[in-house]
Amino acid sequence: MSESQTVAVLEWGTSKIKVLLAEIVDNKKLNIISKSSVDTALAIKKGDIIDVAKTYNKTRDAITSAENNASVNIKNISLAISGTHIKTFRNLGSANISSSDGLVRREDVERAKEDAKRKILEKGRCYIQKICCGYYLDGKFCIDPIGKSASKIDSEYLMIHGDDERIIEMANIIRSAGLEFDDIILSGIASAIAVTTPQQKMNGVLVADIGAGTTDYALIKNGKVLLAGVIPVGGNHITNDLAIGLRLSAKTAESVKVSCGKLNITEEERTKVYWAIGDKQIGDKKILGESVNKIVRARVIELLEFLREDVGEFLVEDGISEVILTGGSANISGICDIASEIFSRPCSKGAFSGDLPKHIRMQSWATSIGMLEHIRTREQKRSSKQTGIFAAIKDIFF
Amino acid sequence: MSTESKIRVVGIGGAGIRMLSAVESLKIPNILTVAIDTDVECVQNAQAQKKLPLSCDKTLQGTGGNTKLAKESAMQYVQYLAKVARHTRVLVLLSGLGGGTASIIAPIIAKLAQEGTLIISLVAAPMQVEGQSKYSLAKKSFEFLKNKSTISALLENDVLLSSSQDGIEEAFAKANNNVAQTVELLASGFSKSAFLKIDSASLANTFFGRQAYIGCACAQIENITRAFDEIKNSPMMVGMSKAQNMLVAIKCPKSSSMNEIKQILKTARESFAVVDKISYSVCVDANVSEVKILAISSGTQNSTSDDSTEYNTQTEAPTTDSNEASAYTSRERMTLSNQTHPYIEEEENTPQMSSEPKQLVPESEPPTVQKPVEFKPEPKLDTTQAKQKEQMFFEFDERGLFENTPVNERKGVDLDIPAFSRKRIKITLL
Repeated sequence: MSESQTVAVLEWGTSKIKVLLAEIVDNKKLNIISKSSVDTALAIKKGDIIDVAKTYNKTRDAITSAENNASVNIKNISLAISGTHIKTFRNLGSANISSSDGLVRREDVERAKEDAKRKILEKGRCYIQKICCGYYLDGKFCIDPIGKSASKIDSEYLMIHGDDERIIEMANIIRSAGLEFDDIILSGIASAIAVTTPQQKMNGVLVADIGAGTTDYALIKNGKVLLAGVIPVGGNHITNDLAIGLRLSAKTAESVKVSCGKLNITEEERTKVYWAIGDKQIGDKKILGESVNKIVRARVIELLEFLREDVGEFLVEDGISEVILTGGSANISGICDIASEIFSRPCSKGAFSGDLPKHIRMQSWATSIGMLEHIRTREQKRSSKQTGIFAAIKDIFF
Repeated sequence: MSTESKIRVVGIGGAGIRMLSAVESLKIPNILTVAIDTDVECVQNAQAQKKLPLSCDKTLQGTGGNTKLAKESAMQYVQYLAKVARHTRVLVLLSGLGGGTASIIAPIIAKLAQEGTLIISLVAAPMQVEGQSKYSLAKKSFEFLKNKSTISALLENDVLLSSSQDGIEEAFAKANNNVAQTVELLASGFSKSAFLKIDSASLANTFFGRQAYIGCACAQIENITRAFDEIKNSPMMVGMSKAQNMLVAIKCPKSSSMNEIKQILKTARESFAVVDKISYSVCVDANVSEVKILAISSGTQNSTSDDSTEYNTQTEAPTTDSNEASAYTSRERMTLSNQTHPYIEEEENTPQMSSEPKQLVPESEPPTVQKPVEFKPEPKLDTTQAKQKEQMFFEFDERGLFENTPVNERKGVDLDIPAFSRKRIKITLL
């Protein structure tokens, strides 16, 4: 008989609060049973919660809606986190090999890991995630060091931290909704899990989730997350630029961005005149295709250049092999071509697993899908560990 | 990073922008220069930290003296003008009145400024030969500015050109330089580093609503009397013989003693026969070798209540000849009436400009004066002009949707300000 477990993920995006409910069947198959999304109504800006009460109400609405759709009650929820307050750094921890034969043992690895994770943050900051990026045996990179010969082992960790007040604020909102934290993960990493294959993760891939308020990115190589971060610029900045540059309302600017925001335009499109609202009534306004293009291009190129700066050390020959863009703003026409030029690497939009229902396979849902995939993998590992222990007990007693 | 709030110096119109260029060339710390004009090219070429072209289809190359066009532009850009006028402690307006742009925009900025803002208007008046309509417009603008500004001083082109031995270019350059030095000394008087700062409240009590006379000079302390003679002959001091009150802003070397300051003040009192009080500010600057003095004075009670008397006494002004009589008459005219500005409602409870121009005909003026200056039919835009339709990069820190969020900084740049704006990319508006 197959076993199933219901899990829930919550994403506090700048434009939408999203909830996905899924069943993990036999710790292998992911079966999405419900989804809901609620407009944030400016309660969240650039990934940061501006209005706690409004965020709570909207979150409650999204959760209730998802629960009603699936006729289930959820108790735990996993959270994808983003925001301008999130910072990352990499930290090395070292240990000398203690054994006389010079072979690395599990204890040596653990000591190196503990040393890497020990770094104390300044007051007001707290860790969100500590991710092992790999090991160095006598300075040489290694993924699995146990049993190998060396005199010293270094363990490298990606340390993700945020403002503790904001994290507590998030926890309070979740608890006020009668739920408990299951897991917490950086949005960029979740998105990267959703849109990459194991092969891409081994070869080296940079995934950028260009959302409404922030761009969350993660760089994965050799199956490990080596770098992650948040650039506080997203699709809303493009909308804002259009509103200011073309003297439009935010609402009209958003529709102009969606309908005629292109990064590469033909000569014909350059001189083409659009109507901002489209009803040609009082208040409508003519805009030039070239103007829209210039504004959108300036912002997107700047954003991608920031991203290039942040991941610069991996843009070497044996660094990453490709770039994947996801998130709502990855739908802007021509963005992959521009990114390909900037990173000098092939660039594509995120592709999702064929097992997912069609209405979920959207760039804007990448983070939530990635979260579910992360939970599934975690549960699978947990189950395999249990299997291992049971197997050992079996060996002893039977 | 310095937290000192900057003095905002705004150059409006062609003449104002030229004055602003002179100010900018002095590289005065803690000031923010803003160039505003309806002539896009003029703003483009201006030396200013911030530029605001008030361009619409009809005003690409200025208003041609048409006040209606200037007002249309102002209404279109009123939110930007408000940004220029607000959130500053001291607002200095530089303009040459009489043209369409400056005569309308300068009073609008003064009106948009928040209550409590110290407004200093340093404006040039046109020559009388430029026409009655232009002169009348300048007069009304100045009257409006005078009633809105803490300090309002007039630089008369008639006086400037007739009293100068230099060529026209040198004469204007000297006058602009004089304005720039005035701004420099005001900035040092208001700066945090000033040993004794300018007292804004006292300044308002002394000069508000009255025409001020401004002059500046620099000299060694031994030649301080000569410095005050120079101040007396400053273009914005003409017409001033006896002062009711005076503000003396002093910028002196580190070695200066209190006795020397006392001597400067004593000389000021004697030179201008100051009737009432002299207030002063002192800023010590290790980089200056001479004493720099700015004198701002108000006329005596008699002379300010009836300026015509004062101007009639000015026949003794240097290089006066029969032709210059008109110049002094013109100043007299400028200060005669207290008319409402033709395009700005005076009521305090109207936050914005009226939607319809208010055509007030002053009793003393012939009705023809009120007609806006004839504007030549708009020539058809050729390709070069069409190119100029490209709106200049708007350099204000506009954050739109992110207005009330913390600064989104990366390497000293606020990412919430539009990228096209920071990268100076021109955007075409239709």
